[in-house]
Amino acid sequence: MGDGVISLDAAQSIRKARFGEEAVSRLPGIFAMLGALMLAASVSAFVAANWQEIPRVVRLVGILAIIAGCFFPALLLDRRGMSNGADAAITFATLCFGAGIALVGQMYHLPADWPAGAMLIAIGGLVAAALTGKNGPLVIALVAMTSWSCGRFDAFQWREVHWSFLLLFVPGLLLALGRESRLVAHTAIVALSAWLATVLVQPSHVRPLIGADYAANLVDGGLAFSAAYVALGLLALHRDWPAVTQVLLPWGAWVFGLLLCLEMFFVLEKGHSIAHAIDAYIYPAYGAAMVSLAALALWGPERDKGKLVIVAACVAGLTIPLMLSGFAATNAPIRVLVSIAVLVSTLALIAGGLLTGLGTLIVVGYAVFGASILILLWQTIGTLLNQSLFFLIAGAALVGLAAGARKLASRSRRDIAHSSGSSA
Amino acid sequence: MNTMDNLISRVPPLLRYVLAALLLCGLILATVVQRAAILRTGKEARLELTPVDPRDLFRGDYVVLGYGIGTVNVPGEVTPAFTRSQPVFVTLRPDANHMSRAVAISAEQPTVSGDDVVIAGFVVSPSTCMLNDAGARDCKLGRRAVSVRYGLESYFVPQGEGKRIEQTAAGRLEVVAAIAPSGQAAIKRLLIDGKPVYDEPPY
Repeated sequence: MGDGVISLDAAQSIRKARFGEEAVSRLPGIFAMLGALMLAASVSAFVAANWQEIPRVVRLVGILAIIAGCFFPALLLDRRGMSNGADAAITFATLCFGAGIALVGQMYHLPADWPAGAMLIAIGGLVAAALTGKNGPLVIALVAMTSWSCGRFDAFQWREVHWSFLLLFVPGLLLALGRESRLVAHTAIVALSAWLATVLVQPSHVRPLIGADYAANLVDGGLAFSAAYVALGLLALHRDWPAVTQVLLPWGAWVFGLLLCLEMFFVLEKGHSIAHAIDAYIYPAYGAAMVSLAALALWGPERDKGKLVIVAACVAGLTIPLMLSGFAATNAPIRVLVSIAVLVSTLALIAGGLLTGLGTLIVVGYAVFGASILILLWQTIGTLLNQSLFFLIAGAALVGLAAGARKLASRSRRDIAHSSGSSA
Repeated sequence: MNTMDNLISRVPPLLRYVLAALLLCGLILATVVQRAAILRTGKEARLELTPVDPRDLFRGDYVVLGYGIGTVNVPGEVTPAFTRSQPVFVTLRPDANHMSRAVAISAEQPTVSGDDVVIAGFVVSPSTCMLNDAGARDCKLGRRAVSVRYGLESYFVPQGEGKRIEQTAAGRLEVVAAIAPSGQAAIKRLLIDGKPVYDEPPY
């Protein structure tokens, strides 16, 4: 539009046609879904009130009737093409199923084992999602199975990986792969990420861990998993894979950026010395990152230099835990090297985002770059004069890089103009 | 792509929706039937307790019940080798007041006779202060005791009624539990001064 490719009026017409009508047609479904959530909250509060005037068997039959009764109108709505309304009805039924589980727990004074309740709700949600093809129950199932897994992991005092999570997550993921809903895709990736985080912090029975070690494991392993997310997300975008794989890119990019900042913050923090260790619990994360980055380099878009720059950004970030492994974080040269690696990774993210046209990577790159400068100003390496020298060299290098990039862009424009002139 | 949804959609919608409704209701009913069976057929045991009063987000007010049998002394000749969360079986024997006391603990379900009954639980702490003859914890006796939970520790009450139970002196409260042959237990009655204040029907 700004370059005169299409007129302002045409752009507005496209926006209206694409988003305006779609938004209006989605409104009833959204309101129905929100209404279903409110009604389910009402049923849940009624159960919690434990109202004795209504015998508990009547309350139980009432909830069962509500659950069963929701499926018939949902089927009718679906047949009339009102898929969102049907989704709202099935979501309400699934939430009432959760209230029913709570009611049974209340009736028989079952102990407050909420992860077990969450597991039952996840099973119910998966059943409803698979048989009706609706997204609401699948979102409920994914949220419930994440709660179940985190609850069990906490109950084991962070000592055992909750492998049973995969028994419910794999069917959930198979369902999510066939759905186009962004909410389902994001919820599935959050569920997977929460479980992967527990895999990274669990080895306390192997070596005694303190709080800071949990943080080191999470940050180092998280950096590797998020690099894998970025690579797989890019591949998914290029090859038009399902939505659940495409949303790996924004989650991976933001988490990668956040963890780069944390690595820099921890290594410059004078009061804390975190012992980093690349051990058997970090290997799977690094393995996943290496395989995914190699896949992106080999099978990503052909003749796209951007993908290689993004791979370089990820590799630069992944060198940080390797630098820190076995070294004391108070080692001044290591601190400088880590800071340089963060800045190089960030700049490569921005460049990769510009070359591939992916706004998320550019925004993440700018955000991390800004945060890195603030962290560096906050935590002085050596003396203030040393720090001044660091910024001077970094700034000069960037100005030099800018001049080189400008020359490259001019040459590229000349080549394009030359080739279009000769073809004319 | 042949997704899971494509495979399932080969079944007619009416059948799928009916099946979904039946499975959701069936899951709830299966839990009800299992718990009701314990209340209907389980052997009764009277248990002393001590309450406090919190609230569950989805199930409302409840009283947390602490039991005398929640701490089980391990005999001196037995090496305590229990771990946290390990399932265990505790043998209960009624005393002169017909109140059940824990007399043994084992990892395998023992065979018992007479008035003895076996209740299943799981270890909360494998090493805690032992109980003295008065039934109170006494660390001077050593830490050869095991903390056990039985799934009887929550008692749900109508909103606001938890305070009444909470303010009742510990010695006046007791629970009658129904214990299935498998060792699974359910609260059957709550008594104050030996009189039932809450009675739990199977359904």
